[in-house]
Parts: sequence; C-alpha cells; structure tokens
Amino acid sequence: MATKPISLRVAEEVKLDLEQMAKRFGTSPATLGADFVTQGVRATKHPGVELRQTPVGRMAYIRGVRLSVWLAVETLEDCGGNAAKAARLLRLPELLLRAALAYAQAFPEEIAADRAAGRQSSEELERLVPNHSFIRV
Amino acid sequence: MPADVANAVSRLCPQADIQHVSSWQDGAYINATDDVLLEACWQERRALVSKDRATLPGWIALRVADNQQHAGVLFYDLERFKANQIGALAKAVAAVLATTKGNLVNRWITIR
Repeated sequence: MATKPISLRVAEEVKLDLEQMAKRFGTSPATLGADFVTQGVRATKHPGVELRQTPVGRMAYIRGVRLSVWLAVETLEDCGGNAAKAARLLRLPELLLRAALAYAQAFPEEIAADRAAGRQSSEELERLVPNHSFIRV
Repeated sequence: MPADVANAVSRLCPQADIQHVSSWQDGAYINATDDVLLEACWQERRALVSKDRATLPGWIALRVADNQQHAGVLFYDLERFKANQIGALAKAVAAVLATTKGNLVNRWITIR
C-alpha cells in the first residue's frame, strides 16, 4: 500500500509513551504511531468493528461480542448470502452483521488472511500444541 | 457455536451442563477475549466448543507455554459443518462427549 507522510504534534508524555511502546514492540515510534492513526481512522469509519490482538496478529471482531468478522462472513456464506438468516443464527442485530460485512468488503485481503488462518492444516495445529486429535462422526 | 446448537446438545445430553456463552454466568463472557474465556472455563472445568481455529489454538499454546492447564476445547470443522447445520453439529458434539466420557482436560479435538 502506498503511504504518504503527515506531521503531527502530540503532548510530550504521549510521545514518551509511544517511544516506550515502540521499543517493546520492536518497531519505531513513527511506524507504531502510523499504525495507531490507521486504527483510529478505521474505528471511526467502522464503529461496529473493533480490532483485537490475538496470537495470530490483530484481528477484526464485531464490537460487543466474541465473533470475528471472518466468521461472520463464513456464516453469511453458509446461509446463502441471506443476512437476515445469518443474523438470526448468530443472534445478532442484522445491522451489526451488515456493519461487519461492510468492513469485510473494505478490507478483503485482511479478511482473506484471517479466513486462511482459520483453515490451518492438522499438521500445523499439531506443531502448535501437542495432544491434538480428530474425531470423525 | 450458535446458541441453538447449545440448546440442542442439552436436549441430547441432559446429564451434561451445556451453556452458551451468551447466558453462562449471566453473559459475563459474551465479549471476553479467548484467553480470558479459557481461564474462566478452566476455573469451572468446562470444555469450550468453537469453530475458531484461527486464534484459539494460539491461545491454548500460550497457556501450555505458561504451564497452565485448560479444560478442553472441541473445534468443529468449517467444511464439514455449515453454520446452519444445527442438528448435525449437536449430534456430533454429543457423540464426542459420549466417546470421551467428558474427559477433556488438556485435550483439544477437531470434530470432522
């Protein structure tokens, strides 16, 4: 993605906090600051979605519930694209589901990556944590 | 898993205490992150059923790395069980509970 520079002024303590966080994350204050700005812009444009840190990186979730956006997309597809049916199944307000779908349309590559993470092979899962098994029913 | 599945499993396995996260402990964990939910489940020795194989395995790995146990996690395969296949999924979960006799501590199982 192409980027453009901007200049910002923040309170001194915010700058110090940002520098310390960037050290912990192993990145630069500029990169982390740009990431925070990007997240803030997304949160403002998509208030029905929140980004959460997970072991596989940052992931979009529907605000207020434990449902990730990629799983909402999967459910919609399982329901043949019928948003009302998917919302009933998920016990979500349809408008909130549609808000998540709008996010998925705005960031298709991100959601595709999340979906791929949800389809890890059995070998990958077994490497991650032992004592995994399959039961075929 | 959908609340309808939890209700269906309850009917199939009346001896098991099946709760959907939206009603368990008055919905206290409805917005909880996976690590918090796994710990809450461990406190009650309650296995977790989910289709989220993207993030949960990583959280389990972190618990194992921290020398913490978990109460068991049942994943169901996205391709095998579509979201609207309530009855099939409920029967599958019930079958796993019968097969394992409910002994799920530190086990994580994918249902296919």
